[in-house]
Amino acid sequence: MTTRDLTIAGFAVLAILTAALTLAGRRGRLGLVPPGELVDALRSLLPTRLAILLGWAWLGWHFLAR
Amino acid sequence: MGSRVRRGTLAVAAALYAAAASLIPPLTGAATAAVAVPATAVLVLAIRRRPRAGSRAHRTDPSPTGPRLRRTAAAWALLVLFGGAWELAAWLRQPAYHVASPDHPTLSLLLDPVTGSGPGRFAAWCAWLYGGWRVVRR
Repeated sequence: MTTRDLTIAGFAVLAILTAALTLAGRRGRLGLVPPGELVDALRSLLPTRLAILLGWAWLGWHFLAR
Repeated sequence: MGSRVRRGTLAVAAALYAAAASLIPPLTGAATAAVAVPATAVLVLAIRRRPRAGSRAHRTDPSPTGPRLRRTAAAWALLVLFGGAWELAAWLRQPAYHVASPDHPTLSLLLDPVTGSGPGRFAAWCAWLYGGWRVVRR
C-alpha cells in the first residue's frame, strides 16, 4: 500500500464514519440525535453560531476559491 | 404563503448566484470575492439576528435530549478533529504549502475533478450556500 493509498483510505474511513453518524442520528440509534438537531442547538448561541459559520466560510474558500 | 415566496425567491437567487460563481475559475481573485460576498453577508446576519423564538433552534430543549445531544456533539467533534488532523497531515507533507503532492493528496486535491468546473462545481456552490442559509435561517 502506497502513502497515497493510505491517505485516501483515511478519507474513505472519514466518509463512512460521517454517513454512519448521520444515519445513526436520524434513526435514533446509539443514543445520538440527528445532525440537524445538533446544528439547531449550536446555532441558538452566538459564539457557536459564529464558530460554525467561520468553519463554513473556510470550507467555501478552501474548496471553491482556491 | 409570504414565507414560501420569500424562500422560493431566495432559492432562485442562490441558484443564479451559484451558477454565475461556478463559472469563475478557482485560484483567482474573482473566485475569492465570490466566496467572500455571501460569507460576509451570512456572518453579518448571524451577528444581527437570532433564530426566531419558536423556531427549531429555539425549541431545542436541553433537558430531555441533553445527554444525547452532548454525546452527538462529542461524536461529531471527534470526527471533525480526526478529519482536520488527517487533512493537516496530508497538507504538511506537500513539498510547499501551495504545491500539491499526489503522494499525499489533501481532500481538496481529491475533490478537484468534481469541484474544479462543470456541474460538480455548481452543485458544490449550491451545497455551500445552503449550508450558510441553514445556520442563519430563522
